[in-house]
Amino acid sequence: MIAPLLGALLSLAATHCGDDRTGRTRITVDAVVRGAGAVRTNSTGWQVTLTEARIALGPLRWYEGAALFSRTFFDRLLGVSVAYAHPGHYVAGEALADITARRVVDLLRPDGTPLPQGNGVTGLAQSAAIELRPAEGSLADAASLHGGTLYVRGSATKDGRTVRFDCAPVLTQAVQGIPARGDMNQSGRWDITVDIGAWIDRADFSTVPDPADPDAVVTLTEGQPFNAVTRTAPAASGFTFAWTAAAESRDR
Amino acid sequence: MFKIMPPAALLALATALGCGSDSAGTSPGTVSVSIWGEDYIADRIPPVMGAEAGIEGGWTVRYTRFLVTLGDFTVAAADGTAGGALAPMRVYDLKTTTTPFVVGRITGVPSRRMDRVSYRIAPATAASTLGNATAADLTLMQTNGYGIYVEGEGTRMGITVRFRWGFTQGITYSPCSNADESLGLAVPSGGNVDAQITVHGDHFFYDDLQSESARLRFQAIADADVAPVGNGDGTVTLEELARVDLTTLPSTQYGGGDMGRVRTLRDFVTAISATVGHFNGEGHCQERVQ
Repeated sequence: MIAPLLGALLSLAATHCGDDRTGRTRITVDAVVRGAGAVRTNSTGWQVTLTEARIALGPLRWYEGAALFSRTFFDRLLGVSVAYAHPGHYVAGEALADITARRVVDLLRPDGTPLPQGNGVTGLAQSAAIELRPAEGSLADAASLHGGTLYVRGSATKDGRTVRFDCAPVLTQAVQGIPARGDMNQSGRWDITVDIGAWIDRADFSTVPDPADPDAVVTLTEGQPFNAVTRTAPAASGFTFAWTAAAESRDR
Repeated sequence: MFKIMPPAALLALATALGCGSDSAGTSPGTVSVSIWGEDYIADRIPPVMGAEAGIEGGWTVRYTRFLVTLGDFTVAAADGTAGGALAPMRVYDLKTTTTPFVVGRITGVPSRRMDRVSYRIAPATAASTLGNATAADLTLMQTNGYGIYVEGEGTRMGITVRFRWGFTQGITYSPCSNADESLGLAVPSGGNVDAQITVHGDHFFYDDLQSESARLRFQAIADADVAPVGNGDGTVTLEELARVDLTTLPSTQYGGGDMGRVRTLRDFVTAISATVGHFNGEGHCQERVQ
């Protein structure tokens, strides 16, 4: 739905009605995706270490419209715990760039996973959208997601008890209005960080029954820890976008 | 209500707005400001029926009071042109307004596009005065420092569950745009333009903070009054909502936003309370919580 709009913008890039402030040129957009927070003590007191974390991402798109909530607000005083996100009223505005190819991203890869290069037009991006859905069979490394949209595996320890777990929630939704502010006045790169620690932050593994084999991995398919992962992973707040312009522009 | 404007329309609008600007008139105009909660507050929020929006599960919600401390309605332009303001913070009861209630008039406004319209909801103070609320309402808001106070009930198949919530955060709504995404107001030369602060009472019952397909629900709120979470007195308080961990609710409900900070139903309704303010019906404003 949005792709034709971006295509129209690309064709209009050199033919706007004379206002230099809104003239656009074509750029290329790169993106690298990383995970953060693989080891943490979560909010329920469990020491969690993730050994695998992957997600099927894409398409990704960037827009002029303001984000649904402000990350700068959240960086202010702690304790003012409000997200002023706004269901149903995200106004994306003009599309500026997109990466349409989908990828299975290994979020524990130290140097991040580069996405295929995308295209765009110059402009000030304020928000982004990511489509989440289960990996299609033709996608490279699709099997590593075990049928889910994301896959996470690790261990959680508390009070002498260790729970080995994995989880492959199926999510199908568009995460919209993600804060993604960058002056895309030339080609460049978006660094995208996924807070995988947030996925398991609210999981209380005390509700997971012990398996017969103490070394076995319990696959979470329901219950509180599964709920915590499933409702947290698609939250816009779990994605951080940072823009770096390339050294020189590239006009097409 | 829950859809993004079609991209073709967005593109056409953006292009049209970029080509040329509103020309200024010769005589200043007037902005007449009103406030209204529409039928969802004045009457009720019905249960969902077919394709008509409503509350899931057969619930009907009726407010008995919907108080807001609101003011600082300001008209200006991005280029720094000042238009005027209605500064005083006043307490309004939107339950009693079956039609838009007149807040005031701003005169001598430059007749041009004034694209920076804003207003505030803020905790009531000793300086706050009455809009259309009662003296008792004003005292309630001032004593507790409320910017928003709501009370009402949900009913379903003979069951009635009341709720009573007050919120102390201040919210600035700026800038405000119309449903067609045009910013602010076009003030006619020597004429009047109406500006309505519209308050959407259904927002408290959304089940998602970011999804455009959020549904309206009351069941989880009603369940918060049931032991061991609640005291079973028939009234759901914010304290009871604070005991409902969102991970105990279906994972497809009450999601979105900053999940690191929105952990309980109280966090959720508090977050969403900041979104009730709108402009000229379905127009929206950027909300900033102080």
